[in-house]
Amino acid sequence: MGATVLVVDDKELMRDSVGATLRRAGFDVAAASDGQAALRAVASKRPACVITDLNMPGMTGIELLEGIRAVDEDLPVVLMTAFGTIDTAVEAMRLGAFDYITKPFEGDELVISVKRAIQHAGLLR
Amino acid sequence: MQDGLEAITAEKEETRVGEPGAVDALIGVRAGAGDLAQLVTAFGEVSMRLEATQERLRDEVRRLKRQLREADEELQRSRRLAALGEMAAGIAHEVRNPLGSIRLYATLLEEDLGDRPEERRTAARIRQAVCGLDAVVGDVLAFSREMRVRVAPIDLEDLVAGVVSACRGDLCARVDVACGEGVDAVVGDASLLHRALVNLVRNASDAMRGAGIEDGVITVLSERETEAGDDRDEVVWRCLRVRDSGTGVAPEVVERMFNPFFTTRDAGTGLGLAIVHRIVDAHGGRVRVWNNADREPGTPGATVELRLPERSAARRADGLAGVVEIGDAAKGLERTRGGAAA
Repeated sequence: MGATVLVVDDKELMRDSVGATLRRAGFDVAAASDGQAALRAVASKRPACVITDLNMPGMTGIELLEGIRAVDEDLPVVLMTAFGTIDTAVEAMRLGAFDYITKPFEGDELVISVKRAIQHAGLLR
Repeated sequence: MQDGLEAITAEKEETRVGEPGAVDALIGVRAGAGDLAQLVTAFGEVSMRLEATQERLRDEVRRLKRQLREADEELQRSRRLAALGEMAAGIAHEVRNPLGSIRLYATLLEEDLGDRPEERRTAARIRQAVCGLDAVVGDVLAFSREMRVRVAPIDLEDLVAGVVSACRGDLCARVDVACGEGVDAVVGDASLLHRALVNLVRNASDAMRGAGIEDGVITVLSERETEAGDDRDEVVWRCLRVRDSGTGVAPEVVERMFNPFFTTRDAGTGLGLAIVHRIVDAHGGRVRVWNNADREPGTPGATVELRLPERSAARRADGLAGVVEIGDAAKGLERTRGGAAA
């Protein structure tokens, strides 16, 4: 059993392709299609890492990050976006995101980011 | 009585030619001398002066009308580009999501097809096509995204040296720099102006190459111009011009050349000049284009001019770096951050 990664994206294709790539790399994958569902998933079974889209209807990735930080200071969160700017990346890191990747990313880039996030969280514990 | 007449005459002499009462004033002076011939001569002189004054006023009205028309066209173009930018950002966002999935699936497919080289190559081509599409989307986003202008004084020679360095290997022309007196620096966002000039220089070089000109010259000029603005304030413009020695621009192309995706070449996305326009908008400036022959008969090529407002920009650069958001340039200046608001 690998570590569990929670993939959050309102686009089904993204959840599926990101999930398939992470499973191929040896992770277990859980998925949520919005921020509220992601918070419920985190509360019921804490994953090793959350990777979430930034722009989602309803709760945004930044709001989800803040929601997670309110209940869990150490859970690593990686943000992904289709519309990246330096300012958003800086804001995300300031709020406690571990990493920030821009779509379309390579599978390796995704896997390396998630692995580093989990390792980093492990060192903190 | 005589004293009274002299007083009236003296008062009329103070009236300037061209103003109401000027003719009466001079007639009064000459009539006092009692010489009809002198009176007629004086009348003729005054008429000529009035004619000249009227001609100057007509010229001024023509100039103001032309300025108004140009400003109106510029405003319309900026509004059109802003609306297109908003739409382009939405489309780019929607395109990048599926592109991300296609890229990941293509990578998985490549891994699965390790023992089938032909199919593996097909999957690799899909992944490469995604990279090409992503580059186009990146240009669209660069055109459409909110631009923040961080102004500071920039040495023009350094700016152009950076532009030439960035274009190295792409150019078929020599690049010269010519600064007007006291204008060897510009005030603006270094990285945005670098990008704008790279686009213009590459565009000029490509146009000349397309016309079969291999020994062309591109000149980057800087000049200061003063223009009457609103409320009788003077607007001082720092004009950056990129001038080529090519075949010029067709009139029907001038209006469309700043539209996104408009291109007269086979290669490129047609976003380069649209991005230049957005950058100048973000500085609260204007873009102008003309064929050199229109101003200097017989001179080949075309000139693109970036007019940057010198005073407001300088004020923002004074002290902390200013930040202006693109969109409504005037509002952008009011939203300047860092305590150095214009």
